[in-house]
Order: sequence, then C-alpha cells, then structure tokens
Amino acid sequence: MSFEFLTLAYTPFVDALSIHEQWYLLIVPMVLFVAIGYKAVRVSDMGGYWKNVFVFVVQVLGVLAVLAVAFTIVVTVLVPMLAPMPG
Amino acid sequence: MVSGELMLICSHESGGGFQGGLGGVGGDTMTVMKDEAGDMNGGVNAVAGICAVLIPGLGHMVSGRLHRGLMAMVGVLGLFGLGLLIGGVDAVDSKGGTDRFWFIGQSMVGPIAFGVDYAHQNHFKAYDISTGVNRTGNPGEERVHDGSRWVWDALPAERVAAGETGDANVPGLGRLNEIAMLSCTLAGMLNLIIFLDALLPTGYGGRKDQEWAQGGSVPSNFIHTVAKNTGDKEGL
Repeated sequence: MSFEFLTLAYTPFVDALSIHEQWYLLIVPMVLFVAIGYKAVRVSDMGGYWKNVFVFVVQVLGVLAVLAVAFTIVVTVLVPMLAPMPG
Repeated sequence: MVSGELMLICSHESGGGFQGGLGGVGGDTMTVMKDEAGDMNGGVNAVAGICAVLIPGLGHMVSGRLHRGLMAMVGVLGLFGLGLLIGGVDAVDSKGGTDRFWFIGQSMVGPIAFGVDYAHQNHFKAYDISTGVNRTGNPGEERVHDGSRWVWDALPAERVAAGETGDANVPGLGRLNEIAMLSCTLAGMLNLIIFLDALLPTGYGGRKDQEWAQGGSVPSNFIHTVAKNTGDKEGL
C-alpha cells in the first residue's frame, strides 16, 4: 500500500515548515534574535540598546547582501568568462 | 553628594570596579552592583551562573540586571524556538546520525534543549520492528506499544481511508533542516556567552570603563544610580 498521497497535518514546533523556496528569508529573524541576545550582554548603556540591535542587524544583513551580489557576479559573469563551457 | 563621593572613592580603591557578589542584595554598594549599566568587574557570581544554566537570562535577572536578562532570554529562546518552528522537533536530536554533533551546541541552551530532545526521543520516535532502529515515523504509521517498547505499525486501511495520516511528525529536509539545526545551535552558543557574562560579570564599558579606572570621567549613569540609591536629589 502506498501512502504517498497522504499529507500530514501541520503542528507548529513539531512538524517542519514547507518553505523551501523562501529559505533565504529566514536569515532575517535569525540575525534579529542573535542581535537581541548578543547586544544584551555587550552594550554599555541599555538606553541605546535597540539602536545597537538595529545597527547590528543592518550591518550583518548588508554584508550578506553584498556578498550575495558579489558571488552572483562571480558565478554568472566571471566564471563563464574565464572558463566558457562548450555549447 | 557625600554618600555618592564615598561610593566613588570605594570604587577606585577596589581597582576601578566592584566585586561580584552572591545575588547583590542590601547596602548601597550592593545596590550599585545591580546597576543595569553593569559596572561590575571581577569576581564569580555562582548563584547567577547556576541560574543562567537553568534558564537563559535568569542569571542576569537574579543579579539585578533585569532588562539585560530579559533580552538575553528573548534572544536565546527566540533562536531556539525559531529553529523548532522551521524544522520541527526533528531539529533537536541527540541520537540521530550526524544530528547528534549539532546537539553538542544545542545542549548549551540548558534543560530546555534536553527536555525537547527527551520529548523527541520518547514521544515522537519508535522502533522499526524490521530493523530494530529507533526512528521517526513515516506517513501512514502509528506508534503502538508492544508491551516493552514503542514500535511503528502500519495504520489500518480503514483509518487511512478515513483520511488519517498516523502519528509521524514531518521531519525537516535538506536546507531547511540545516537552517533549523543551525538556529538551535546558535542559541546554545549565544547562551554560552550569556552564561559566562552572568558567572563572571566584567562590566560592559570597554574603553570607557578603563578610562574611568584610570581616573577619567565617571559615567553619568553611575552617578545617577548612586544618587538614586543614596537619596541625593542633586545627583538626580
């Protein structure tokens, strides 16, 4: 008997999400939580805490975005230029 | 501000900082230790360390740094919860092939990680009768107790026909599974930093603290706290 047609019901925190096409967006909440936790034990004055968290998130996401663009250029432009594939 | 000046003299005599104590209760000096700015240098706060092991951020809370502790808790539990949300309970698995190496990092979250792993091993896995392996279920299987242990058994045809899917949870696959495990592991590594900060409070000022210890200007938030704790209205 085949069970391939069965679709399991989703239970949060028990079943995995099915967001395979949007996986890269998960970096945003991940960086946000890292910033919240890290800056809690790093900033000297909690008065500027949220500003520090914001700057941290922007810096990490900004660098990742730049790296993404850079690697995209390498893979789609530079590599085909340096080592063109036949056909 | 006589009392405030006295406090500052004491701080310089003790090497530009305060010794971390157990809990920080009572007395002006101990109250100053509880400043959210965290001007605490040296010493071991064992109670805070133990509390930090039990629940992320609790160590900071019991030593009076409520805001820092709360935010640390949000950060660690947020990351851990995000991992579970993405990959399900399958993201924490101390006995699952290469997943067990990830669990080394995840275990640093503390009892919560061990609790999730216990639930995973004992309430979501069962033995495969044919192979003897304790594994996650497949669609169309149900967990049944054979008298000695939980085993996977095929769901009866009539229940499948009725639309039931069985007891198997949906495991994370591919990249999403990796992200889920990474998120839970990051939570553990972040909690290690937070635990060390609770156990060995060293202050947060960096260069500002050093300048202060060498006779530089005193941080305004410190003066404010001293004044508040000593009832000095001018300092406020």
